[in-house]
Amino acid sequence: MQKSIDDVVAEAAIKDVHIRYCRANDRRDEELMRSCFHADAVVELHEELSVDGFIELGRAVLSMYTQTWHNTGNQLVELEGDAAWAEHYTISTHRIAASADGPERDFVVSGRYVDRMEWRDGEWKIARRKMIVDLSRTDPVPPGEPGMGGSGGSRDRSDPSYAMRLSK
Amino acid sequence: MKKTLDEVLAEAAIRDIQMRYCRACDRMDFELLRSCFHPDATTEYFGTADLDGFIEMGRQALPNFVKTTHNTGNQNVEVNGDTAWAEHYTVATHRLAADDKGPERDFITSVRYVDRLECRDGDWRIAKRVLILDWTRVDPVGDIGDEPAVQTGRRDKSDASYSLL
Repeated sequence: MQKSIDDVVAEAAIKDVHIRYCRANDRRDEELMRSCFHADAVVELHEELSVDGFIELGRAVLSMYTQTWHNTGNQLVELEGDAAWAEHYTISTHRIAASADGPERDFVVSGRYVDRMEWRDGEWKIARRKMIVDLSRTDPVPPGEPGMGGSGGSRDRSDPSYAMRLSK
Repeated sequence: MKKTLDEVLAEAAIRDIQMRYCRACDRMDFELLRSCFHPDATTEYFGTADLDGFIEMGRQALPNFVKTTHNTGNQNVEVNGDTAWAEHYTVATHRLAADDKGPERDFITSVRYVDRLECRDGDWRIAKRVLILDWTRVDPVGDIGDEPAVQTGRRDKSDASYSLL
């Protein structure tokens, strides 16, 4: 059946939610993270968590890395009225500083996020999310690489991307 | 608030610009690169540049690599009337030839491009672009054996993609 314009508009909004989720992780922006979920959402990793529980876990986990990068490719969305199913493929790279456990390295996870999205009060947000890890790997970061210098990026609101955002 | 159709159309046009930008870098198509920007655009990569200066920098830098691929994932776009903000995640892989610093290898940069875009006369283009380098790595290429029997990409208009236009 042919997609309608309304379908395409809804799918675009749903895809955006996950892209904002990625940004929220990488910039450690808890307000942005919270905005991706309905207040009563359930997030299932190894166990089911509330939005508050998930954000608290994220705060602890993200601080273990010097950088994280959640980069999304495939996004498949299937609409059914005011609900939708979505599956997002994301490669998340977590840079681990050198420590007693080993030299600097990247923990790379190829995962899928599977969502039940719901349209409530004029917004698509995640009602239920499962994270699925398909494969993971640790890649070495060779020492003495030719860096291109600092970039001014940071994992908080001093990142230059915030200053350039438009006020609506 | 529900997205409007006009917003979705603007977002699509804005995402396209980044796809053209990546293609322009990888094919070293400086005409296409220029078309991504308004004439008075500025870029902040390793210092601030105007459009001519930026393109000249590309002309100098890209030939230092055997190949480049700029592959974009996340694209955050926020449209507000005739202006927009965008953040694009791109993994740029730069193949380095064997030299006195080491064997053949890939210099991988994970970058974000953050844009201010403006729609002028119905045409969305970049007005300001900032490059943020989040992390880099050098990966060995290793011995891949015989090249696969498919045509390889070229960094000019002899690339197969141009013949289908």
